[in-house]
Amino acid sequence: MPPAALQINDLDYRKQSPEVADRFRRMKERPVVLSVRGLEKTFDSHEGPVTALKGLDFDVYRREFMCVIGQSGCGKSTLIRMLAGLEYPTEGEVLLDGNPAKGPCPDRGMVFQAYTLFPWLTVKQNVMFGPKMAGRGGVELEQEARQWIDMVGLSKFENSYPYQLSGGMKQRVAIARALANQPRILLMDEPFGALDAQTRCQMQSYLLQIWQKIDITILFITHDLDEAVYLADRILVLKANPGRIDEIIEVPVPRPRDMDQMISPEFIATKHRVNTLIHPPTEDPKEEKLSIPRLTPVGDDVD
Amino acid sequence: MSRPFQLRGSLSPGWKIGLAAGAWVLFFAIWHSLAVSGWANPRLLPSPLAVCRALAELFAEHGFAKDVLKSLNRVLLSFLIATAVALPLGILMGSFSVAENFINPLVSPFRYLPAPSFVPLLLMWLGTGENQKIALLFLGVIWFLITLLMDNTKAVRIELIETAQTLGAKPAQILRSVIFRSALPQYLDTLRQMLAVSWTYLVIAEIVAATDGIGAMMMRAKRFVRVDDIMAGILVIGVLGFVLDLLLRGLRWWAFPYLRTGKET
Repeated sequence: MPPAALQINDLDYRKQSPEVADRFRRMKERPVVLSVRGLEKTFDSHEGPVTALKGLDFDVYRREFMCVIGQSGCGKSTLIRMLAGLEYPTEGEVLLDGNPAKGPCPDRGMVFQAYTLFPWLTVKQNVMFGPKMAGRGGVELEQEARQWIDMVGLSKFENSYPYQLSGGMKQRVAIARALANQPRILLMDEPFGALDAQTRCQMQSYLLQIWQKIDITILFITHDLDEAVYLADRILVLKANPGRIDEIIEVPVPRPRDMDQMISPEFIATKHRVNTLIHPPTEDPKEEKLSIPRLTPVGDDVD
Repeated sequence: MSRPFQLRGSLSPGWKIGLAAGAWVLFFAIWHSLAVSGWANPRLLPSPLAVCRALAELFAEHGFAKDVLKSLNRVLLSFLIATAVALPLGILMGSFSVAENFINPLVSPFRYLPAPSFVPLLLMWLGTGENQKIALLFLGVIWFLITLLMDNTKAVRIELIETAQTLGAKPAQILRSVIFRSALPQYLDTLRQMLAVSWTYLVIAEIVAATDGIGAMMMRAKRFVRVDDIMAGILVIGVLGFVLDLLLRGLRWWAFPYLRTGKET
């Protein structure tokens, strides 16, 4: 066990090194790309209306990487679907560059958790789908598509069909396809949720590399603590019933990030903080104990 | 490796072909031995060879090819018209709740009306000519086609539609480039299966007031107790249906290379 874990409570996730503090200061000087104002969503159910999200207010700055985390049922998916325009808010509004954003639009690209490549199109045709819908075409577009495919490292597969790709490769194409539309913000709804642990780590590193190189703002939904702390500039923690903002955490881990930082004191302190927010200590510790009768002989213990 | 007798075991292609051929050999062997054993009246149960001879004679001496082409033409023409009506309706109904809730209550009950019950009506409206036969074949498949094509349309994954929306596609573009394109293999499967149903109505259409076609030939043969001719007619219908089925399967294989994996994505 790393020594940092022993003194977890002494660590303050709010303490930032001067470099990190300076990064956040510069980030907040950049223009706001996405702002959410008084966002609220109520669903009708058999037991009457249910409020999924209530009174959400936050801003995302240009080229910020923001993660949204929360327990299942806290309205993460509802939030990102409203941002993408796939669902309509009951109250409040979403502003993109200060203009009200209503309905789906290529300005807000989306990568889903489920595999959503069009199975009848090759990798290249999938990447060209958005620009083609906007009436573009020709050699120039093909070249552009190749660049995006190149960027996610799949040049060899540009003429492959989705069924020939692994899960991680499919999601890389989905990212390239969303970016080929040159959106103002990339919305990602647990995009690596269906991948195995090793592929997931690889994808996180790919995503950070892409984000560093191109002018893109990312809002990323996850339920994985490590993923949130590793990727994000700021983590928006949601509380359930109804879904509302618990805290917006500025991650004090310096950039560029790498996996080794996962045992740094800043990382652990931040993770610990997010963990206590989304898994508050239960009031009754008995709830966690199962009442199982002993079915093995006395002395036959595994501790 | 083949595990023919295991629960849900897999079979090599050789086993599959062998089993299929074996079933047919067994079928003809039983038929042949019944026919030659004298157990059945040979006039009512001719042997397979007698049926083949009758078939050759029909083509050679009675211009049966014209009947076959006539029947093929009726099935294909009526099916083409039915598809032209059902496909746009199915796509609209599967894509827009308004269309579904307006058209489906009307179309659904018609599926329970047997098409042959319309024959007297069709005879009075359309006479005994070609139109009446085409109309019966059309009525036999149209209601099922509409509902099945609607179901195919509705089965398109919502994520694909939403993805297209976030990529900036407009509703008309989504209808064409995502919904229609995504469901196309399933549409083809539905058409292939309903084409088989269309053949079952052919004989009914050609029994009533028809002078040509496979069914008309079979009805003439019945009058002279030519069981071998009747069986030859059945054989031809079976072979035609099977060949069309194979052609459509081939078309599916050729047109949708991304489905050649064995597993659907």
